[in-house]
Amino acid sequence: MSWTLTAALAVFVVAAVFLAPDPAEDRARALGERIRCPVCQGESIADSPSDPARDMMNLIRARVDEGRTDQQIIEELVGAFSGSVLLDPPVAGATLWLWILPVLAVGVGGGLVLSRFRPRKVPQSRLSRPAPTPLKRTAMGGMVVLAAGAIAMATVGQFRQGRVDNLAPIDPANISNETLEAVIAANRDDPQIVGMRLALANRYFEDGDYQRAFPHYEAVIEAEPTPIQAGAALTRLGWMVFDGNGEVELAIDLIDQALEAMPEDPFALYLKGRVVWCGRDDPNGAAVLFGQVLAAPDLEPDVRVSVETDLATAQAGSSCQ
Amino acid sequence: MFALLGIAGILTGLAGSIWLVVTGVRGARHGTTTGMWRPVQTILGGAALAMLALEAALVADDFSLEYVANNHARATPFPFNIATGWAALEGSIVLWGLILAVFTWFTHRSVVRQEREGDRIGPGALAVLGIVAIFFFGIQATVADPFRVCTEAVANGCVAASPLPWAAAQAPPDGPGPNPLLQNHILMAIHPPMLYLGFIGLTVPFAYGISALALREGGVEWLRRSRRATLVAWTFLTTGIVLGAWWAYEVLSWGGYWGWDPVENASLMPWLVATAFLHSALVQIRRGALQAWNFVLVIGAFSLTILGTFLTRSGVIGSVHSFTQSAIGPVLLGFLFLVVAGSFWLFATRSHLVADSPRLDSLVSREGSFLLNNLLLTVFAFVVLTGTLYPLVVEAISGDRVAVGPPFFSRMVVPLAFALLLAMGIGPHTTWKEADPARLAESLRLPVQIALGAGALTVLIATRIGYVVAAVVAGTFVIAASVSLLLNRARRSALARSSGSPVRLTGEIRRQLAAEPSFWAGQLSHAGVALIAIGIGFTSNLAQHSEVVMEPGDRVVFAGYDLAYRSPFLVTETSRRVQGATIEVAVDGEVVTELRPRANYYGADTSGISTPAIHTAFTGDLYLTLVRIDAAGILLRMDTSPGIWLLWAGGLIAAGGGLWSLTARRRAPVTAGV
Amino acid sequence: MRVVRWLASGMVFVSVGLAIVFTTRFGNDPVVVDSPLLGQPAPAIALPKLDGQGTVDLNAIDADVVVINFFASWCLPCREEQPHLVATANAFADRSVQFVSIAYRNDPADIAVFLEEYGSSPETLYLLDPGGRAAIAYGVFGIPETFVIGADGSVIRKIVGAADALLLGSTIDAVLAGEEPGQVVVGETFTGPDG
Repeated sequence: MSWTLTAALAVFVVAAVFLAPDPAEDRARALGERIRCPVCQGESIADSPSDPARDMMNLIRARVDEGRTDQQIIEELVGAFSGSVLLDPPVAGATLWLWILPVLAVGVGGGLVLSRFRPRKVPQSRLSRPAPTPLKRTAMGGMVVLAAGAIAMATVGQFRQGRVDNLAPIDPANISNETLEAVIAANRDDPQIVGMRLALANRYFEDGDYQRAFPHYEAVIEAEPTPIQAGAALTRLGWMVFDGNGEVELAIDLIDQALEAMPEDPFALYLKGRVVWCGRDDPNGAAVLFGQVLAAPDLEPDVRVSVETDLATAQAGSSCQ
Repeated sequence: MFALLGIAGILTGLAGSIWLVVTGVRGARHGTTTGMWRPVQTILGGAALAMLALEAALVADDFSLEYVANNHARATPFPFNIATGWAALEGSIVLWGLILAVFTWFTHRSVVRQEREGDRIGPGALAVLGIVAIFFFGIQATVADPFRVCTEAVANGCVAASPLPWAAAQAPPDGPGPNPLLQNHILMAIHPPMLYLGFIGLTVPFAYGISALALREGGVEWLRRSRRATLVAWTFLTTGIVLGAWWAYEVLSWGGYWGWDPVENASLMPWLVATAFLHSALVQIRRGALQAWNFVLVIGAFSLTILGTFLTRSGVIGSVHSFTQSAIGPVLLGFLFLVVAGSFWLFATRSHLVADSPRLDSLVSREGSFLLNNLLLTVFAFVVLTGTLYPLVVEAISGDRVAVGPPFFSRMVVPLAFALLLAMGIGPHTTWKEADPARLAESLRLPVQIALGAGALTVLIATRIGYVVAAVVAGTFVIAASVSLLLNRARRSALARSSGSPVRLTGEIRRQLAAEPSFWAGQLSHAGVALIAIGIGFTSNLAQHSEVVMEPGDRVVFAGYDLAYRSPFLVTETSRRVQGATIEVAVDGEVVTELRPRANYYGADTSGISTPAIHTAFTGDLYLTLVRIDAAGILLRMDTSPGIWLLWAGGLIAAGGGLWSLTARRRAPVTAGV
Repeated sequence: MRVVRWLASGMVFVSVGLAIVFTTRFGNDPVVVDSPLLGQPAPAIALPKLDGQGTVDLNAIDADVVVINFFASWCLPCREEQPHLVATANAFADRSVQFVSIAYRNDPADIAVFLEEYGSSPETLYLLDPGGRAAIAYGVFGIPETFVIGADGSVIRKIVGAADALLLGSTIDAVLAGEEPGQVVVGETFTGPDG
């Protein structure tokens, strides 16, 4: 046996391997092994028997048959699921260092190992100055590393991809009527929904949408509301009945009920005043009621002015406007 | 009652640990080895009591304990009810404590047997073991208490518990039982204890190393005395990892055996570093070199063990293996930090101990091979560590989520593995100090030729895929190099005595083996690893996959097998329902076997745990899995695992080498030419 | 031995860094990912209707806001979400808002029973997803997941977990008002019948 035989064998084996025809590659499976099954812990979609994994493998097979390239197929899946589904991290971006670090380690380690075999030189320079004690060295080195690390993390943290979970909290003032409708409908049986109903009904009322306001006010009253809630609902119901249907006595009756629940409520008194004035055509009665409104302690200035105008007009005996 | 006994055991163990630290430190200061046996007995007694109490509670179906209520079911068969003792987090720590106590006991025995005057390292090592024990018993007494009494029970478990054993207990009528995956196979009962024996065993060389550093005693003392423990730990760790892979293959129906899962990696990293340590220690014992390496490696091995424990139990990395998250995470992290930072700080401040480590003369030498081996294994461990922790670090820094899976690890690890195989083959042929390259080449020529011949054979009869051929060549090279080394030495030694007739040769071989059992045991382990490499080469590249929908009576041809779906079956057992299909397997018209892939349904599960059916042959396994079974028919997945038996055989042989090394004693003096 | 000492010191402080990293990861659910579809054009897929009356091209829906919800009968959070979806769909009936509910890995019979029991809206399109193509295209990790698409056809909002009427409604309001894309996680998702 000689080295010729060895060489011959080596050549034969190497040639056989490199000249071998490319095996029929199962491209779909090869791609599948690079994609993580999204509903499993770490298995690839090629290995996982779960349904989502199988669906994705079928998709890959279909795309391979359509003639898409590997890159296109990977991009399609990453575009849908994000890069976290790639088991084969790309040599770029966030995973660049993943590939660099081991190579660095080999380099550094290899260098250290090889350096052990160089002949030892007498370190002239080191003999002249005193070396710091081990403890001091460690402390110094440590502080440098720690400081550097802290600065690095702080800087990098600035570029931290904001987690999109921090959407602004829901501001009640910004909620649309439809949303309130949906919430109320979905929580119909919840007694605490009464407040929300009232708020929505008041919105409709102020918009003049009596059609929509009506059923909500009725529901509020049926739901055993607090006196304040009852008063608010009844007042507005009364006004709607008058303003919408022209019914005077029913309106006054409703507002009186409101006043029983909320005595001396300025808004109820005012609306009753207007009904009495315009509905019963009774300026004197209206004036009395307006006067009671003005007796309320915390009226806003512009409201006060407006009521005073009405009072003056009513006292003058004119019919309502 | 069990709660009381168990907590008593834990507290006894904790007290014993503190006592051991005190006596150990005292012994290290004064150089005495007396007075430590009582603390050691206390620790062992306490740990044993805790474990027994837990097991007794499980066997007696005592659901008033939270651990039993949430992890055990009446219907769980023996021995899985015993295995439930370590199936969940708290119980696994109790087992950890017990094994640590046993190792401490053996270490103490070895220290006392030394009968050395002024022995400081021994007591110091015991003190360090005591510190580790304080931690593990400490967490058993606080955050991971398995003996919490259930104070609020629901139908199927416990929702609130109290650490006080005299609290008013409520016991649910039954519990959910262990995770179904953990009940499917007996290996589940064996694999974790094996791994723990490996992990915890590494505490002993670590303790000796830290003791040597703290007492400022460099040299080979600490290596020599801890070598047996290191071998024991390594052997169990090897066995545990191989069993784990085997279990994954047999139980999880994806047909693979290693997924580079973070928890799998957590067991591999200590193994790699421990292997490096095992080899590197030889250089220091022989030539006094690589002292710094050895300290770093032993610290690294133990730290990686604690890191692995932390990763498995803290929930920071999701994994198929994870225990459920609990308060133990931050505590383990604190301990890990203490171990790593403390040990390396200690090492940094005592680095003058390793300053006069002799320089090495040549890279082409036994020392050089070991150094290269250190480097390769360390880089290997570093690659695995980087890949495992990278997603965590990236997420902490930038919030991006990345996944690092098998494609990364394979690409990085395969070149390292080939380099290691080369080193495994060449290394034993190198001589100490400085090897003559010409003689080295000559002694390696035959193994190289045999290896290439095997490669040629593979190309001719099996496959021409590069990785497979390379694996065969490399693996054969390692085995051939070992065998040729043995034969060369035997032949030379036989010639030295008299004429080399064949009968004499066999006797001479036996003499060689007996003269240096540790060395040849190591060669046996190398052979095991070589077989594993060849097996991995085959299974990774030559496996076939397919799937088919079948109704009863259908046949399909796959990978040379004729598969016929006979009928479905449904079996109801005490703890589960099993639904499966009977598949008849024939080759060339002859029925070879009947395989029953099935799905197991535990309790109220609607999606079953799929169990594969495997037929093993010399060329490889046929692996059948049921993806779906219903009235319409079955969806059957078919895979082949060519040559996978090489993995299991190789693994057991590698571990066997470790066992041989532990049990053999040198019988004849070292012969010339070593 | 300076090298050794420096390396060892370095190890100490690498471990500090790693300890910091680990500490930030405690209690973090490692599964939920930000959807790459936010701000991107919604996938173009045609799906068959549950009642068998033809197919709907998700891209060709003419509305200011399209709400696409993935659900299944075996998904417990979906059962809680369904009444809220129905109520919101009804409430926005006269706005240009189209609700689409896509069944994820579910038999039509089971879907029908689910809709009977938990409610359905005449304003909503109920679609099947054969082969799971829509779920893949939308990158669905688990259900329920809801995607809200704006007038320009791009995905503006994603809701992971069961949403209530308040969240659905205010999300629609936000999309109508032209707010920035974003994602919110409000609950757990199911990947299979057992969770």
